Amino acid sequence: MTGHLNTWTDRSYVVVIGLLACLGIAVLVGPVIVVLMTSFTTSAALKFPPPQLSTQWYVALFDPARSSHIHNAAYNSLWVATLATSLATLLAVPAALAIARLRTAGARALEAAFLAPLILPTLAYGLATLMFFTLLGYRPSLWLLTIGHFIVIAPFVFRTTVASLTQLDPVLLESSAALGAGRLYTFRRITLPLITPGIAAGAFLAFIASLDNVPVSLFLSNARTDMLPIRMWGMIESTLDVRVAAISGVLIASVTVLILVMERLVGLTRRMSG
Amino acid sequence: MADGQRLEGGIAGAPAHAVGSTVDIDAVTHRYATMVAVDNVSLMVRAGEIMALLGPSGCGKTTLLRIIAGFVRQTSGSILINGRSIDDRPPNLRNIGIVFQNYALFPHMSVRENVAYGLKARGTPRSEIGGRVDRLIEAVHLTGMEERLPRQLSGGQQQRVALARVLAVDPSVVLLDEPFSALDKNLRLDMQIEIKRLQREFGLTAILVTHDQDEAMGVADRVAVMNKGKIEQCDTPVEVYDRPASLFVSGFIGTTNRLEGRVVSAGPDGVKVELDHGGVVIGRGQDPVAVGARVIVSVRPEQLVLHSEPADGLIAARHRLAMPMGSQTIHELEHGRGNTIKVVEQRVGAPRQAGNAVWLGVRPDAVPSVFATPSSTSSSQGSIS
Repeated sequence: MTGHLNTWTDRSYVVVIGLLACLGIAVLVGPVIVVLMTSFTTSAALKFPPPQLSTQWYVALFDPARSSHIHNAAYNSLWVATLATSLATLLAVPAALAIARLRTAGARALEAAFLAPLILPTLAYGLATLMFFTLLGYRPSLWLLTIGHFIVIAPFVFRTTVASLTQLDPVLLESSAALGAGRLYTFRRITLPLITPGIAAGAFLAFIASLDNVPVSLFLSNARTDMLPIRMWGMIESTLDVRVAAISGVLIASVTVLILVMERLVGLTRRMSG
Repeated sequence: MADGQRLEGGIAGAPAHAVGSTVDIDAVTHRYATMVAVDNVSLMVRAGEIMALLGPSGCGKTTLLRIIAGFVRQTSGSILINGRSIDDRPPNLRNIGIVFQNYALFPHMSVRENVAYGLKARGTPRSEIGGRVDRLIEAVHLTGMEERLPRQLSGGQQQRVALARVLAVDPSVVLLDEPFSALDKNLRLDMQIEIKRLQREFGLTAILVTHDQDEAMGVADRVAVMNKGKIEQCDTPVEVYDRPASLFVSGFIGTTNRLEGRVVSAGPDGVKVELDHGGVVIGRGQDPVAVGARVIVSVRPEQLVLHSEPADGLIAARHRLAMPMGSQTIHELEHGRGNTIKVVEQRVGAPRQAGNAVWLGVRPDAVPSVFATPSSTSSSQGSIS
């Protein structure tokens, strides 16, 4: 805005909005900075501010001998997140394609059903899943975790795919047909390339949602199938281990890089608002 | 496939290699739920001509276009191309090219990929595609822009790509859906000329859908004026303008004055009408009218002449406004109470004084059209349209 701030009303508006924005940023970014700084402490306690800076906790974190439990939990988390995201993409994209095509009341009801896991309390869902699969005689395993995660993250892919399909100009498909392309060719050359950024954005969100999911993992994991967020919580609960801050540092850094890459490739923020 | 052989021939700039195909719209009717969008329309489009479907929005022209393209299946009737019905063919097997209103270029493909799309989709050998695409890009003057994406092109350039993309597949008919509406005024004329040039060069049969009479009149060989799902008149632009077949056509094409009156005599020389507010006009009866019948005379602004002295049969009016528009002046006159009449005259010398009484006569060589007054009064709200 380049206009002059003529009146006191204008100025006070800008001041109030500016202060609110600063407050918002402080609340959002402050904890991240505190965690990052704490992770570089020399102290053996999770205390802020750190007396001196060092990378000793990162060294400890990456040391296979000292942190094998954490590594194990991280592998489990990545494995489950990758598998659950793949599963979510494979199933949510065809579902979105079908539902975007059929604009009937039934399709809309299905759409609401597919999006339900976003709204329903995940904690209750985690408990329900545990009870259900125990009833069927299954024991907690990474596969069970994958299925549990898949259900809560599939809506992300579903939603962004439906959004990019609604943004797809139907005239493009008619144009393709008039040029002699059959349905499959049109899908391969027009529809799919144009909705791929939406699918990718959804898959990315789903992956992150799985990676830091606590409620489902809490019920479905055990000592053998330890998940990273659960392990971190356990570490804080028992010993206030500074390595938790170091893990947070690694997560924050890698997710930031991924977000920047995704924003560049598919315009992540645009897809989320769609 | 016969089309495949025509495609082989290439379009290397050889004119008249093809003469286009005929399109026969045979008693086509289309109903949406309760509304009749296209009402028993029959129309024969000759090979190699541009036919304009002209009408106001909602007249059914777009539905008719979509029926021809195969996106909408008509309720009854048939579409024939070169005498053969295409009703059972899906859009991708009709070999009909469409230039859409907003061009519908594939946003993720370069100019070259867009133009090559139809050929690739039909499985044309790769070796043939390259040269053909180059020639088409050249034909629409876009050489050097092959690798650009649609969003990097201006509106006019995008339309050229859309044309090249359609021409690449050597369609038997090209449908143009309001192709100029997204272009600004200066570019519009250029593209109209361009389309006409390409149509001649490639010997295309084209159907132009538009609501803009200037577009239709300028580009088309024949104009089919549509209203409420029906074709009111189909003729050359000059005929449609000079001899409108209906009151609707007379009002929709060009500007006209509608003067109400009563028939005093009807004979081979024309229909003589005494106007309600004075004056006598002789015109051509477009509807059968009997002596004494109520009629509406449609007389174009350029068919009238201003006189400063009264004489027998002239229409008395009061001068209200003069708009000098370069070589012409448009006069607005009041006739009777509240009826405005527009008159266009070549401007010579100083403009006339407003406020004076003037008298109007019909030019000796001009023939106004006389229509029976419609029984419903809904369409006669104003005297000018």
